[in-house]
Amino acid sequence: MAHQLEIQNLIKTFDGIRAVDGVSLTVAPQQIVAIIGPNGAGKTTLFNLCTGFLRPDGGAIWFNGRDLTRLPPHRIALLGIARTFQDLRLIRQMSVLENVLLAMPHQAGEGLWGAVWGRRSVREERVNREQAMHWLEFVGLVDKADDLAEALSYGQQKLLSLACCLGTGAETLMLDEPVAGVELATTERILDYIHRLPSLGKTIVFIEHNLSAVQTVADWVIVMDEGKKIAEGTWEQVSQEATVLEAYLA
Amino acid sequence: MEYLLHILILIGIYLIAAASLNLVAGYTGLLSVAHAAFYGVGAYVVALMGLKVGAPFWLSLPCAMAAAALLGAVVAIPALRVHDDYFVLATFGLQVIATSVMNNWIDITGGPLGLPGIPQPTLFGVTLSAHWQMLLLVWTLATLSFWLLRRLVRAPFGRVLKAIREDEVFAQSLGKNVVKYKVLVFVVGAAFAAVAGSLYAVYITFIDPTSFTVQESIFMLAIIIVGGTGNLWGSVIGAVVLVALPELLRFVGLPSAIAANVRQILYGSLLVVMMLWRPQGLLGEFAFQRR
Repeated sequence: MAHQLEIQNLIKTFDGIRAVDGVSLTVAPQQIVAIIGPNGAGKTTLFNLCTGFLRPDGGAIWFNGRDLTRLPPHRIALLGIARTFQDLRLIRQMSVLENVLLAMPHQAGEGLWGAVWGRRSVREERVNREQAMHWLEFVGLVDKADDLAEALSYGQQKLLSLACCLGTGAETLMLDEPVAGVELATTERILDYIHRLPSLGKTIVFIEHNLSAVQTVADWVIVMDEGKKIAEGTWEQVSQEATVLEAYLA
Repeated sequence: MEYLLHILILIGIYLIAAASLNLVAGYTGLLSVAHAAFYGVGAYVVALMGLKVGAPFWLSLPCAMAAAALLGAVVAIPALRVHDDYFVLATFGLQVIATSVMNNWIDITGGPLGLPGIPQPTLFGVTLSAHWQMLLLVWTLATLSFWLLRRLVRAPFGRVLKAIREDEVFAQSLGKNVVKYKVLVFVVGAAFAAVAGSLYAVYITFIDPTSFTVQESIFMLAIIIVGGTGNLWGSVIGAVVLVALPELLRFVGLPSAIAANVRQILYGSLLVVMMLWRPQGLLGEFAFQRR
């Protein structure tokens, strides 16, 4: 099976501590992969390395056969890896719709000339609006399209950040704790959307502490502890492994 | 009457300077205190081209814009490597260097004595020497500049700037090249500041370094802060308020010995009151603050 994302022996050190210590893994297209592990296991650091927000000290990251290792975040996003953040980043002073519009790639109206001589960008904006509304429909936020993002509940903001990821058109979505802190009903909604995304051609890698969520949607589970990958497999496999139980009990 | 026209001309010039600074500081959140340096570059380029080679204003204006844009690009690349307070300090450094060059490169700039006798612009063989003619020129260019800047901020381009101001990391995660946008905005802002400076030079027909100091930069910032950051109409209102209000005080009948000081005090008080009661400015949507 061809890999979409391939990480080889990745290393990141902070002040002598190896936050990510020789992690290798592969993700196949349209797979849903969960990364679990105790706090400080290096999960978010791994995300930051894959999306260009941190530079690795060693190893390589390949995406669809391209080396991403030295690329800045915006290039990686345009190549097809979008992400959400644990601390939920959005432009709170913009409308819900504008947040998704912002995410759309390669807009002529975002260039200096395209903005000033705007015939093409006006037409483009109309098309983009339809596309953005489509994603808002997907996450069930259509009726909030014109509200400011800050007016949304926490769970709705998580849904909006998912819609923004989808708006980028990226093939792979890296979701950092997509259901943490979200009430049960919205958690189930978010998991349902994640579950449907592979059929739309998306690949999902997500970090989550909510193990029942992992059990529900993940095809494959990677367990990390102290910067290392300590186990991987289906939920049924990893949940039986002694090293995993030990890491969680310790 | 001429006095009134004079005020309106100054408002037009400051409108261009403030609206372009608003693009940089108000929309993109790059708090630059070097805008008067670019304004000064525009003024000196037009003055020198007029004095030394007799270039017409229509030729020297684009040259002035290009020179300021180039300086903007050269400065933006190192200055944008630092953030927030450090960016303010970096632009302050540029401003100090610019004023110092104007004062000391005497062969070219005339030093503290300045450059007198700058030729006035001509249009179809008519020299624009009357106040009303200057007013037309200034407000034509002010309208054009305002229109162009408005196109930028209302387009998806403006949406990216606002996103960069609010959350750079988020903008990057969505594929926006934040550094490219910041450099672009700084360069465009510098070019329009040069338009304002060019008009100032050909209107007053005399320039010296005192018109392009850090105080002038801060005055421009005051216009956008009072008028409203992140709102171009706010820059229009701010320019009207801060240029015209001190002039109105001339008619209050204060003794001339204290008039200038009273104006400074009122101007300072206005800023303090605004910051306390309406930090986003008259029409603004966001306030500079630590997040």
